[in-house]
Amino acid sequence: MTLIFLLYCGASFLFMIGLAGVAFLDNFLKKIYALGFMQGAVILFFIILSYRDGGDLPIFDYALSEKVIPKMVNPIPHVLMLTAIVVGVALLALAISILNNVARKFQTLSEASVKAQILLDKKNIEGQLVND
Amino acid sequence: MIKLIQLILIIPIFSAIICSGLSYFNQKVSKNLNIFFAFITLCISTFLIIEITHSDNLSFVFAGFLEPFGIKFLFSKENAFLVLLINLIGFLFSLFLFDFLTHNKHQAPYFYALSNLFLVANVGLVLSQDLFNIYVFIELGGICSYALLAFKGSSASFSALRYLLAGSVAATFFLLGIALFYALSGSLTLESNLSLIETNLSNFLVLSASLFCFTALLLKAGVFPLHFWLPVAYGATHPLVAILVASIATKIAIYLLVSCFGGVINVLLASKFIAFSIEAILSFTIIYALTRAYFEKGISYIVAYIIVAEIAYIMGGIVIGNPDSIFASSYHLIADSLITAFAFSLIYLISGKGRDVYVSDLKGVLSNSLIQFIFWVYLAACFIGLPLTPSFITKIYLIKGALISKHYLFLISLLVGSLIITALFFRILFYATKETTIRREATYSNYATRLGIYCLFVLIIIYSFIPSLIPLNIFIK
Amino acid sequence: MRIIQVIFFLLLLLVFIGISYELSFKNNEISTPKNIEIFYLEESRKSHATYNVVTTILADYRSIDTLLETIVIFITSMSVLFIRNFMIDKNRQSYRKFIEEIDCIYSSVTRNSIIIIFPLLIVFGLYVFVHGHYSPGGGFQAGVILATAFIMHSYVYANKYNFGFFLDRYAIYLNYIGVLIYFAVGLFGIIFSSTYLDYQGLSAVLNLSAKNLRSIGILLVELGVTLTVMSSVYLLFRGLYCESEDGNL
Repeated sequence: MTLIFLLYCGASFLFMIGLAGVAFLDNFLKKIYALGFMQGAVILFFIILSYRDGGDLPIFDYALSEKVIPKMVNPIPHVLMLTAIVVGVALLALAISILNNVARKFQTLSEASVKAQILLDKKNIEGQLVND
Repeated sequence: MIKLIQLILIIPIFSAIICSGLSYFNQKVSKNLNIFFAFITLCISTFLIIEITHSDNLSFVFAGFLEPFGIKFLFSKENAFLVLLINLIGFLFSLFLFDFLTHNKHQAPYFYALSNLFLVANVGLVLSQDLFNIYVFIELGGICSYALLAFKGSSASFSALRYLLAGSVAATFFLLGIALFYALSGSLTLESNLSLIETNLSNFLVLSASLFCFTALLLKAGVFPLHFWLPVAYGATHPLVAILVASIATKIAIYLLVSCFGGVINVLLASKFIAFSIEAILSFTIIYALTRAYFEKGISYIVAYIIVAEIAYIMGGIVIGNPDSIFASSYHLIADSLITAFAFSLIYLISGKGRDVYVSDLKGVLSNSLIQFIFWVYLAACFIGLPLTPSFITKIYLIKGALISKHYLFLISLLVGSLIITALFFRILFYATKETTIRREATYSNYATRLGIYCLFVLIIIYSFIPSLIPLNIFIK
Repeated sequence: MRIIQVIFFLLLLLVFIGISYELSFKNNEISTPKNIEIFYLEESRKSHATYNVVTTILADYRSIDTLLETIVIFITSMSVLFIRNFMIDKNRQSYRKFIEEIDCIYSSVTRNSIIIIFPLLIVFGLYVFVHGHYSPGGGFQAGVILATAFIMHSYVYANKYNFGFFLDRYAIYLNYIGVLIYFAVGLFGIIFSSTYLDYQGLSAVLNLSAKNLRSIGILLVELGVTLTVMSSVYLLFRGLYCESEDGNL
């Protein structure tokens, strides 16, 4: 029951809440929010990995001699997370713009009714085709 | 020489920026520049293949640092043909774009940027040796394909949105796998992490990390339980887009699965029960997908379901483990890309302005035009597996491998699948050769589009003679 | 069907708790610096004039990742415009039609406070950009702050006569220029030196020591990133904000 275990468990719960949201919710907008949850959880996971007891910013002082290297927090996950955050924002924006098109065309935000409408359209069109 | 490999990645990025920027001002120049750059990339990759057969692997590190501290890209005998394939389909797609954009001028900048960056993403996936770099390339290719697939609107937007959600969840799992790999080995390169997989896979952390990455790539590749996004995404979209996306995206994911995480496959196949259940799932996939294809009425949907079955062929060949079947899988990887591109380009010719094409629309086309008749018959032969097509060689080697290794379930599903496809295409072609007075012409067939389709046709015929000439060993397990 | 999904979900939850448990035991091993990290920290002290190690790793050692990330945000903003069927039309007919529909009535409190905050935000954004070498900051953060300033202004001040301040006219071109700057810095590397994005290739144009060349290279690269991120985030706002009936903007 150490602190690190609880932190990792917290990130995992956040991830599972996000995954449950994407899989089980019906409203598309809520699914997109849940995707944001998942991305936040993974970023938190990386940051917990980089933590070091008594760690400090990975920036050398002006004197260039005071900071000792093992006292710095691991900088590599921070670098990776800068990229991951930007990619996450890009995905959310793209998802919302595609959702805009879908909602405008089908007049609803719920996945089940969009599926039902598409099936209905398909049956209508294919029923009108001249048969073999 | 090293600079040439970097040029394969740099020239499409350059082409994306310059062509889409120039197309706001001058359309003709940007069209010609796009084809020019695609052609140069194709020439460079051909030249590099000839070089690689003489010498060893060529590798370089960006920004000029040594290997574990920079990001390494490796061009080897296994990668070379895939890079050539991607650049080839990119060049043919730019030929198709040449005519398409005469009618849709205001969408030109987006198409240039999206198609070139999609090619960059896939070439980078094949060449890169750094895990986080692979993740960024997966996301870049994913974003380009989501935007391209949603282009048509209405039900294509819905299927692209589902693909986006599924693909993003998969990429997040991949990132989580990277986190665990970094925690275990302290470095992000493929070499150190793969040696970790090979030595201690029984460790719970290593097993879960590799399973996360493996499942993410399975979703991108479209293997059975996670294939739900594939038929609607490729079936409902504009056929021009499907030429580019459908032929490359899933195949590169399969290549990554085998080359990076082949160790996981080895371990999974060691237990007899899991091996038998994987074989059962793949056999079920083939029969299920082809039966769904038989009852569909839209041609794009039919081709999309056949793609699911072809992916099951490739995965089945890998799972069987025979040298023959592995050769068949690697051969079929490239062959299926070309055949898919060919199929969607024929559909694109028929569809006017990208509307949905149904089997009944084929009614007048074939009896009125001889060349289209030859093309459609050859396409049907490719899917069935008649001689003179690449699928014939694939099926022979797969059947031989399944017989030697006693995987009879897969063998039966192969034969039953071929029967179903034969019935399906007999139905289509019989319907299509009826006489009609309605004359439907191909809308966008200027010389560039026709050149593209003829090139594809000739390439597929040539490819069926290749295995006796050039050794293709993409999967070394 | 739903039951199978719930069972998988609970199994995955157990897997995660197991992972957390194992990782908490390996915490000491994860915390000791391994070879890559020691190399980055020591080399960036020796061969870079930059104090911020995160910036040197981001913009020098793993600069191809940053280029791809810039391209990702660039292509996302283009895709949002693409999906919304934007047309860059010289006479801007649809633009005028959209403008007439805007009907924002914001209170004078909001308007006056935005006028005060806007220049402060711009200055702060430029500060974060320039100080990427010496404190947490850099291209991406600065781009987002600058874009926030312009978005806030457009959001409150849009009316029938003009939409935005100046970014609205030039955002698309700045998008391209940002990526071009990043790309061009890399081209110096491949032409005058061995690999792409090698900053020593800048010695053909500038006459500085190796340390300062790297600093200037990182600064130029961050400039490209800032321009691209600023215009892209603004274009995301612009693409998602417009509501018109025929889907033409």
